[in-house]
Amino acid sequence: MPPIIETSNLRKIFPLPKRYKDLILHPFLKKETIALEDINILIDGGEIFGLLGPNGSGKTTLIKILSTLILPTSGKAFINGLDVTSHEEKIKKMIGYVVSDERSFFWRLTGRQNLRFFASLNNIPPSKIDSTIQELIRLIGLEKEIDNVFQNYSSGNKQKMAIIRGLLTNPRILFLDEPTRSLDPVVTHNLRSFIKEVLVEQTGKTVLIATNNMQEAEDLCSRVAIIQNGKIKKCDTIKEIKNIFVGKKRYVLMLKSSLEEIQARVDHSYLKNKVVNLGHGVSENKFIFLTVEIDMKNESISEIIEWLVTTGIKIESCIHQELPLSEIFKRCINA
Amino acid sequence: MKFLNGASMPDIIRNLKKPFVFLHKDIINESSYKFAFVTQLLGIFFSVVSLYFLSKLVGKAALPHIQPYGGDYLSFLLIGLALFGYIQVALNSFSNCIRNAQTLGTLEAMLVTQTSIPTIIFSSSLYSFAITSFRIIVYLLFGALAFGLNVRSANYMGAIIILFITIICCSSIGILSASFIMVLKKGDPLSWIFKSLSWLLSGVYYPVSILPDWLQKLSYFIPVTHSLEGMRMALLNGYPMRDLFSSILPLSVSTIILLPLSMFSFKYAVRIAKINGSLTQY
Repeated sequence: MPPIIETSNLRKIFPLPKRYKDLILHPFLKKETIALEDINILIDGGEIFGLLGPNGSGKTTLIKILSTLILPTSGKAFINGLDVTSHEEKIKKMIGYVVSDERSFFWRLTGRQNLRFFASLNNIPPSKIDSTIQELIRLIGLEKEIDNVFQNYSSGNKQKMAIIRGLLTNPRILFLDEPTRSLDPVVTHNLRSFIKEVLVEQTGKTVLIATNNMQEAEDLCSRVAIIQNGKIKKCDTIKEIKNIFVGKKRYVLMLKSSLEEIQARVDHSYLKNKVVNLGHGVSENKFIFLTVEIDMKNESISEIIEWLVTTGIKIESCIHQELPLSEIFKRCINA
Repeated sequence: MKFLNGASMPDIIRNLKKPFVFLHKDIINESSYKFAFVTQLLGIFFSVVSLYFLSKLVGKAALPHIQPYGGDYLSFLLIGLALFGYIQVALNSFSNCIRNAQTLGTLEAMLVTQTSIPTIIFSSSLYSFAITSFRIIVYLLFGALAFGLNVRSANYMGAIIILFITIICCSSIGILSASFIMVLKKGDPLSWIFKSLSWLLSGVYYPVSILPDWLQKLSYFIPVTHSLEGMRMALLNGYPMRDLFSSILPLSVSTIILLPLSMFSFKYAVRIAKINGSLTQY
């Protein structure tokens, strides 16, 4: 089956505004910035694909090109086999773009009036507008607030409105640009479940999600492309990316001995280069906590435990600590 | 059955309904600002009364120049200002709509819908035309009932035709000016130049005949001069269609030149904004 979203050597360069001085001294000199460079991605139907990258990395630019709002400088982008530069109308019928900017609604209208307006703009037959809106507000959970004026909505409800608007046409492809930004943890969890279980697993939609939250990418995406400075650094499953960038396993050992004694012994052993942290615990200050990192393939924690036991240090517990996702993300970006 | 661009009949019907969807949205939006709505109505009252006293001041001194328009300066002035109200809306509403939607942040959300940019821009300006029509009707009614504006023998059909062509002609300049706004975001020179020249030369406050000879010649190249002339002749003198032809012809020629030019420039401006990624920036 051909991919539903495809980009090939996609490149976008934006002109930069000139200062007055440059306008006078160098009127013909072009000032530009590269927003996207050689972007090649293939996304299959029914997949949740993540664009993961820090702010300003080019995620939104890519989504806007795919949504026909920006023209690429060179390269190609296709939605369901249609070139985004020449099939704007047909592509708009297939996509839903969740614009997360809360200013994208009319603040003095109610939620329902806003949705009716956007439904009409999306060519939904008048006889179906109200039933479509009703079904979506029930699904997303906005029934109580829908007839309130938009400006009185909480950030979470404004975000829900953006998602409902993106789903009005029941699109095959959904673009989500930081959908859980400014949402509380409960709403975030519910929304992620909704995207995964309802939108993708039940209705088979393809979702392209731009986020700078690794946890979100891990919870939702089958594959991610890590973007930095407009370039794709890695495109794979989160598991694979973790394997590549984690490299080491981290353990925290709770020891019963004096800090000075452990420090002295560690300093004169092979463990010296593996220690990440050594010190008293915050609440359990009678114990010493030793954090070590070992190679995933060639080393085992049992060797360290054995060495500690032979040196007479009593081990209270040993816990495997997952490397925080933020740390992995940082490593990917810096790689 | 398929029409232009492969659009089917239901597509065309849906597109024809869209301007009314915008109008409905804008009425809800604007009527939520109740105080502003009331002050607008009060403004009409004050401006008509002011014009009445101004016409009393000018009085018979203006008569030789006003004679071809029925001899009443207040009527001359009211019709000139009423038509210029429409002209201003046609000149400004398209660029204002783009600018407002850019600054409010609603433009991007509208652009990703299945509605074309020209439809969005045209439909967004509909409320301005509607409210201007309402204001002008109240304005003229007030002038007729309180101060004797006499349009009983008017050629209404002729007036409507002139109004229609004037709106299309000035809207073309308005769309050209919207093209500037689409790319430059602020500081459109075209509408400013056209409006200033029209105020000065087309005869809103005074007949063109009082201008020096060379300015009168220059005024002939401004479409608004012919709009005002034709409108006054139709409403104040009740001229038949054949006598209005001298005003309708130059207006129509301007429209035939300006309309395609404005459409082309707008399409080009949208393309530039898409290349620069500045479609929704302000």
